[in-house]
Amino acid sequence: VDEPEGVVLIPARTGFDRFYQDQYRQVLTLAFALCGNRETAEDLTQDAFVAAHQDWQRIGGYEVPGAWARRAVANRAISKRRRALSETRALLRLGGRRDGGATPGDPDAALWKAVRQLPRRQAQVVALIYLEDLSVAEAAAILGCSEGTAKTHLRRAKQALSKQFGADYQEDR
Amino acid sequence: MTDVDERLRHAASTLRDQFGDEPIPDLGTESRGVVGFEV
Repeated sequence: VDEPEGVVLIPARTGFDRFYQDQYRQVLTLAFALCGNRETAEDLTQDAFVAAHQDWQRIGGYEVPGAWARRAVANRAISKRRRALSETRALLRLGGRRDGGATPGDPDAALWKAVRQLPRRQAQVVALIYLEDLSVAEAAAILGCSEGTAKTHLRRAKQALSKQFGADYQEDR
Repeated sequence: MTDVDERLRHAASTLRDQFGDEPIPDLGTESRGVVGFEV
């Protein structure tokens, strides 16, 4: 993966260990938001950092190595999530039960669940912008798309979430 | 009615807090390998 351009999220640091200590929790949080399973999120995050370690001569030279880790985890978390959902639905069909999918009593968890059900890029843009407090341009740079495209994904995501949760929608980003 | 932006900010803050004290595992980079890791 090429270095995402134009991101000023985290200054580059020297040394993998410092990078890992600085970034682990944030990348883990992003992974969890997008895959919805703690163990899977931990595996994804650790795999991403191991891969970064193995290619640190290249990735450590990036202006923002953290952007690489975020892109890696964001892409893989969605794939893992989709695969797990597919397997779960197959099992439920076999068992003749329906997936209720509710998250009783936890509105934040319900909201993240709804985010995960958005189209891939919409979910990624929402997670990066809100979890990491990034601008649309910074999120776009991490995901390797244009700022305009990311803005469209964000608008559609917020519209969908507003509709689902009966919340107000304001185009404020 | 709550603004969706506000709800997302709150949910993000809650999740960050949830993982804020997460122990950072030993990566075991000396002995562990990841084969075929693709982004």
